Amino acid sequence: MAFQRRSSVEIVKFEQVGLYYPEGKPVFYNLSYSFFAGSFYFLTGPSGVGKSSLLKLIYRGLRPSEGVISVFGRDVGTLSPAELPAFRQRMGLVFQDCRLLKHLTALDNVALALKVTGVDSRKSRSYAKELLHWVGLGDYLNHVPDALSDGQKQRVGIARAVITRPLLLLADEPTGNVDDTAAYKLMLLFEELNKIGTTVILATHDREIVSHFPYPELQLYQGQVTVNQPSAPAPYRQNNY
Amino acid sequence: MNLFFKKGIQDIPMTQEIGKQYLPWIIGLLVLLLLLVFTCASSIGGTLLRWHGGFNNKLTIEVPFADATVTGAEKTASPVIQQILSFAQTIPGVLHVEVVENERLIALLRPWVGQTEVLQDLEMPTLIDLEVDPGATLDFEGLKQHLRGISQGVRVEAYTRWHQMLAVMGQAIKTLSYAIVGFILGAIFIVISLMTKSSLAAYQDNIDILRLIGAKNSYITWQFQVQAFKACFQGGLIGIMFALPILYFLSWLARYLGIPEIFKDMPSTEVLVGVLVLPLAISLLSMIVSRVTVLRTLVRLDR
Repeated sequence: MAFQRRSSVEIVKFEQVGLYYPEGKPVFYNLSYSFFAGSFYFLTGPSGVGKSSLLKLIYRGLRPSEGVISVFGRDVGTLSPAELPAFRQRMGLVFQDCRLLKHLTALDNVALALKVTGVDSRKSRSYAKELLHWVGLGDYLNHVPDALSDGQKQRVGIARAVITRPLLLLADEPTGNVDDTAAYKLMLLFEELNKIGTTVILATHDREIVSHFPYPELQLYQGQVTVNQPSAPAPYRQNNY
Repeated sequence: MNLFFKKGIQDIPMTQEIGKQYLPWIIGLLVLLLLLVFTCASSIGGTLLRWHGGFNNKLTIEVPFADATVTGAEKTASPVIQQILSFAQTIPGVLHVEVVENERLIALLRPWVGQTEVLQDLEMPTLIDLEVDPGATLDFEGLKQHLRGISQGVRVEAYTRWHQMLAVMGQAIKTLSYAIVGFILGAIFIVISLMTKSSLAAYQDNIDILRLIGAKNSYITWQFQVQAFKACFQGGLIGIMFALPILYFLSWLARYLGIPEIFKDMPSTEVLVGVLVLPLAISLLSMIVSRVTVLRTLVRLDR
């Protein structure tokens, strides 16, 4: 199954991007790559190699040491503080540690992403309820994060990330804290989102996951990035997923 | 504590913070002090003003007992007194001349001497009050000279010294009370600012999450502003709840001790209005303080 990009629109573009530690050692350098709208990408490499930093560069959690990063056709380095919220509202972020607000229920956590954009509370909660049913948490609407399993928390995080119907979904090790079965289910969710047009960039160090899905892989290693085009996915194995 | 407000869910749960629970009480204590200082200062200032007004445009001529030997009601008949009265009425700018009645004189001396019977036998001077036109300029020295020509021991009291003293005292009390009120307000706003900073540090993760999902600075700031408003409004009401009984007690105590002038009509209508508006005013100002504090931090994070 050959990889086909779904659009020629560059949603994220790295041009000669370099990121260096304060002491001058590169996290990566001279990175030029375009992520196309509607596609699915893996960002791989061992832990600590800079996958999270690369994602942070996209959502302007970090600034590059050199080069230009364009997202949605805009150089993110030129975004003013006042423009950042609207910029981030167009993307969804999923984190390994979920980053849910502990005092809010699953429903309120998901609704929050809409609430901050100015949608009224009742409408936000109604959409959030629908999404939580979609991710299979219809029976856990009023559970606080501490009462949920890691997989369930991650699904709440995904629901929160997609409730605004983002053009771009950045997922940082979303399967890192869950078992294989839960990881597979989460991957299917990401695939479903991708099928409805969301560009997905998923950072993972889990080779098993990458081998099962036919998407291009950006591999970070020792400051350099290599791009591996997908081959046929590995067959489904009962003992893995 | 969450007095007077329905408990709502905040994106940043600052009410769960231990320091925040005591904030209304701290604000309440400061508001109580503020109200006591403000009310007492305005009451004492008002009393001084009334005294000041009472002394204004008055002159008193004191004729020694030896110069006016006729006693009681016949004092006015004394040739010296008659002469002074006739002269006083011809002075330009003098509106009214009056010999102070014996009873009034005794009443003035009673607090110092006590026994009224003793006073009846005392050799007391004759006092003549002159009411002067406020716009008139009196030749005070010339007046004294002329009166001494009539009676050697005559003294003239223009109350200038008292005027100045009361004016200085009134001004000092006013300035001091404004300074104390300023310090207390400053303390309230410093407390709010510090609490906001501590909440910003304690809930850094929540703030990061809100920013990552696209919350505007104004949205995050509003969370803190609401908390500051609630804490100060609750504190203001707590302050009032304690201040009003204390003020009424002081008023009662002043009447009981026979010095009702000092806390006359306290708390006055103006003070009561001020007391009721104060929590709202402080709450609104604290929202501004909180907003500035949070925005400064968020702008630093944006850099």
